[in-house]
Amino acid sequence: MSVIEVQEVTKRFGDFTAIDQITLDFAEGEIHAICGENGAGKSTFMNMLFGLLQPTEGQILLHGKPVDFHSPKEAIHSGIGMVHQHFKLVPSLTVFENVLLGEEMTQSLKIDRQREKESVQATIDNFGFDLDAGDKIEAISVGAQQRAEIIKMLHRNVDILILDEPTAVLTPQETDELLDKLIELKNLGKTIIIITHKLDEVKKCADRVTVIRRGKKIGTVYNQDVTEKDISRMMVGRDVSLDFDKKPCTCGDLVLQLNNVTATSKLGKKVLEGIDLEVKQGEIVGIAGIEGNGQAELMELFSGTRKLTDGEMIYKGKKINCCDPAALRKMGFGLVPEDRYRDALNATMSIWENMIAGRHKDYCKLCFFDDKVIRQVTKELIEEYDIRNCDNIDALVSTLSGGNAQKIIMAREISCNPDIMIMSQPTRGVDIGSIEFIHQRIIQLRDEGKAVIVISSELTEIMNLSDRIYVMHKGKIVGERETSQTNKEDIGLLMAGINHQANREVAFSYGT
Amino acid sequence: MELNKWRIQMVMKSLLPIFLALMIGYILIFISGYNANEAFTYLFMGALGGKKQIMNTLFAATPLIFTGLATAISFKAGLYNMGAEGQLYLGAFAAAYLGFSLQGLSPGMHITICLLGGALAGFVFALIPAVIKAYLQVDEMVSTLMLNYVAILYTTYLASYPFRAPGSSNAETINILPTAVLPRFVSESQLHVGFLLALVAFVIIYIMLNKTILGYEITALGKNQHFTEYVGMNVAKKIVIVMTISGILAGLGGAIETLGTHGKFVSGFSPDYGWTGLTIALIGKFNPIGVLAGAFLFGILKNGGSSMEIMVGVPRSLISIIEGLIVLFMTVDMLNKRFSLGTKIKQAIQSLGSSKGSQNNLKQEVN
Amino acid sequence: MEQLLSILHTTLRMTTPIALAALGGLYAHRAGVLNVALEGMMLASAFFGVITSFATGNIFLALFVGILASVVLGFVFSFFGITLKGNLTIVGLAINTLVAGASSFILQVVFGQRGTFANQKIVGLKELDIPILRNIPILGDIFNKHTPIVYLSLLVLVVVHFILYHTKLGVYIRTVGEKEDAAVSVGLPVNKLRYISVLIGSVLCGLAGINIALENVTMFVENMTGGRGFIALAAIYSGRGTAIGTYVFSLLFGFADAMQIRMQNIKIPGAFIQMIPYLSIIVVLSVIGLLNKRSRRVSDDV
Repeated sequence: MSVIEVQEVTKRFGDFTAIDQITLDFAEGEIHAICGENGAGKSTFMNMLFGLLQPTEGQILLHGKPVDFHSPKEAIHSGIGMVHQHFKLVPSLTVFENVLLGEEMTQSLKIDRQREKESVQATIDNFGFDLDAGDKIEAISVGAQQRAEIIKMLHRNVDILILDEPTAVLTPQETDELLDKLIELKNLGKTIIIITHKLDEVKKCADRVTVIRRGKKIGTVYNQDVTEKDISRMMVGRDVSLDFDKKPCTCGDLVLQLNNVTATSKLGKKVLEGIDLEVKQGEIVGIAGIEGNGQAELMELFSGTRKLTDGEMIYKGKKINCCDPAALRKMGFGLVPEDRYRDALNATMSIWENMIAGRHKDYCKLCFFDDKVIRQVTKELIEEYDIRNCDNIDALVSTLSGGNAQKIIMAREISCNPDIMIMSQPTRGVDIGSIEFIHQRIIQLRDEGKAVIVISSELTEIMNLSDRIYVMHKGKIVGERETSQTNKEDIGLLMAGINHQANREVAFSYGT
Repeated sequence: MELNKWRIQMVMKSLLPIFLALMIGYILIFISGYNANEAFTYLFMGALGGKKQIMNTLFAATPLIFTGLATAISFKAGLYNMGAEGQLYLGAFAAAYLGFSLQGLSPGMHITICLLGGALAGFVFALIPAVIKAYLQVDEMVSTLMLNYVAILYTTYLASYPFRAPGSSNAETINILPTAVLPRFVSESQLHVGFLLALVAFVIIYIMLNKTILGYEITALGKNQHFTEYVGMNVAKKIVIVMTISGILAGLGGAIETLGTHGKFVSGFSPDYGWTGLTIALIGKFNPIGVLAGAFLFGILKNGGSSMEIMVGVPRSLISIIEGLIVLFMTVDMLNKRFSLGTKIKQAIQSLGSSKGSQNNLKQEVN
Repeated sequence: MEQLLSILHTTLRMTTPIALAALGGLYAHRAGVLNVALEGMMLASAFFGVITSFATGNIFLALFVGILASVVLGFVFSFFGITLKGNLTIVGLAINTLVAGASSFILQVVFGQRGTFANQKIVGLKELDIPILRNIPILGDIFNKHTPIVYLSLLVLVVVHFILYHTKLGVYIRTVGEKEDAAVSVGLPVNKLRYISVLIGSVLCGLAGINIALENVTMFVENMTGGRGFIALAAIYSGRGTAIGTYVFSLLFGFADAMQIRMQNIKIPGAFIQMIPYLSIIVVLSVIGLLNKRSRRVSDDV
């Protein structure tokens, strides 16, 4: 029996049609996966179910009755809960305060914190989650935050749970646990809708799969009837291969070396501890790890925006412990940070202004810009890197898709001819076509003899690109492997902080 | 064609709030029992009705161009220098001090030194918040706001005690020497050479912002500081540069007021030039052309306001009301179809009951 | 000793309007709204309070009308800044200009007065002489003989703190300011909460304005709030958005004001004493900055 029926729903933003005539139904007690590439319209679709957006046309039926949600509150009251990709949690509040946000328990005027905490802890224990209701959100791991989000919905008695890219921030082991938990919840009668582009997870837990491409529904299939490859073909519209032939690595001189590097946060907590790491010419070094285990801090260290408190960073034999980004760039660092629109691009500036950022001083005469040269260089790079929708280089860079924006950054950084290229999450939010292109460029850089570091939480990406892999856990490097002598399971265990026979408990106690 | 239409719309966008504010002003005059037609005639004739009137309007706009540009350049870089008022005071005092104490200089030389002194005073006084912002992350909005009071108190003290003109009942210094006085263009208007200096400052800032590396870096800094740091521009250094340019402009504005308008330092000489400059910079969207237009508009109101007061008796404070209304209305994009005032009001009424307004944000995000 | 107690007594008196405005602005600050209009709200309340007191001779009516004027401005500020999403700083500055102009315009047109409005018919706030306090040494000298609003302000401090940390409203306001997304996702009325935060500020600014105009001077002077709204903002920032911290920094300003008033006949020029709070805020913030400097990015705070 269907719980939700979506009938010919269309959503337009101005002239742009995000969702085009989608008809779909969700059955009671099923796990239904919605698959699609980045920008296919999955999130827009779910936001309509959750009342954050209203359809332009068409209607949504809940238990056979048409509904018209104008706020998430209405959706929640009708039993639909959503766990967003970016958590909607207040960092300075505790787990129970977040869970009960909007539904506080009061004694006359005062909030009864003790009762609140007990009540939330009861729900947590009832569903068998590993979570402490009294912890502050800012002090717990990302995985725990996600559990808090799920509890937030379960505590409100929802029977339909929407999860938007829930595994993006989890380890393979945490992911498995989550999927098991979802199946458990399904068996309790909940309907689960999971939005994802990770097909192995779809295969593991879903009953049915609906594929969306460019706002249109491509089809709904039973999971048992299809293979990953079939779904992938539905998503992209063609066969995709991210495997490529890589020449064996011919390593040259040592380029960058970290010796026993430690860094502390504002509050004095160690965010990086005893990091030893090295990169040679012509080598791709992958840094794997679940997000939030020090990779972001490591990237900041490489970029010169964070200072190390102990140890040393040596570049071509020279100690570079306290350089700022400007100095590092001068020495031959190419940097692609993970937060594209915070660090790498200026969303409110034009394409050409972003393209020349950092070496803008090369394009001027007597501190005046040389427009002609700048335009020509920009156009050449756009062509070389196959960046689409860039005819007007005065347009804002934020009008570009994730893939094209990332290519702008790659073009800029590579054209500076760096000796070492350091990239964090180079293909996050990027479409498959661009991923192919970016991966090829990274391999090409290596073959030209550059030193390359790739930090990524996508294990597949690390395995495909790297010659050597370091794994990070809790701010430390917990393992180093030659790619040819390891496999996903091995790395996955390291990511969870388990060095083979070590106790499995360790993995999930992080931060709690 | 499209571009023209866009330009017309832009102009309309700024004219509509002015028109509305004037209309309310007109009604206020009317219900206060004055002859509103006459008052408005004097308002405009007094500001634009002849060569002398226009010159006086430009005179009134001169200090505002300086404080407006000073604020605009720092805000454009995302640095909230609210200290133009204090920098102006120090610049004015420095110029006065050099103006009455240096003897035997040629006029050109003397004026130049006084202007440099004013600029230097503004520079030094902006350096304090700049350095503690750049290296100690002290919020510049708070520090400049605080330093305003310090500057005003300090210059008032100087003009009341050590440098007070003998026999004067006000807190003011003795007159500057004739060699330091900025000459007027014609004797019947107060407009002086300082106005040309304001225009020069405008041109320099305009070119700097639009054509040079520094301008590019300022824009980048203002819109995204992380990015600016990441791609290798020295953020701390840029903060100091921008803040001090801002201070220099405000200091120069003060110096020019001393040398051209008062001929001495008078405590409390500024009717909130700093704040008005801030307002002008905000409604001019930190664009030098917008600042220039804003300064003229406020010059017209100020100059026309006094003629209206003298001739019809309508209190000058009406001008403050009109100014406030113009600024208030300018914060709202009145012509935008999707967010026109009518729909906004409708939305507002609904949003008092639900959280619809905030959903607009989300919509844009999803987009 | 006598001198010191007298200064402390004046400190409390001078702190009151700043602290009220600051505690009022605190909610808006925590809800993510920079309320630059505190100054205008206080001035409006002072003006209409004086006018009402003059016209009716009723101090309660004056209090009511003053607060009402401030609340009306709170609505204007919220409507333009929150509903119409205008730039909050511009809206705030516009309101300040508007109030300064309007008060002086009305004074001149209706009452034929320029700049100042003083009249014997204006009824002021009575200082309370509390019998219990009167007999306690030291404490009595500091805390006795203030206007009711001064005592109210101490109560306000406690209430503000309580509301902010122990009630639904406080949690919601902090949520809206810290993570708007979280508020939206559980259907909290974000705009309504912002309105409420601004309006609470209006009420307290109304009290502050009345206390400025109707304590011992009982008159209205153009621009008589003298930048207290901005000082209140500085106190909020420096106090890191907590009620207690905000009050402490308000006290600092009040103390300096008191020193300046009390030391007018001593040799040190008042100007330098008046500078103390401004300079000390800068020093305090610099020291905090210096302590935090380790392991931090330049852009962290922006």
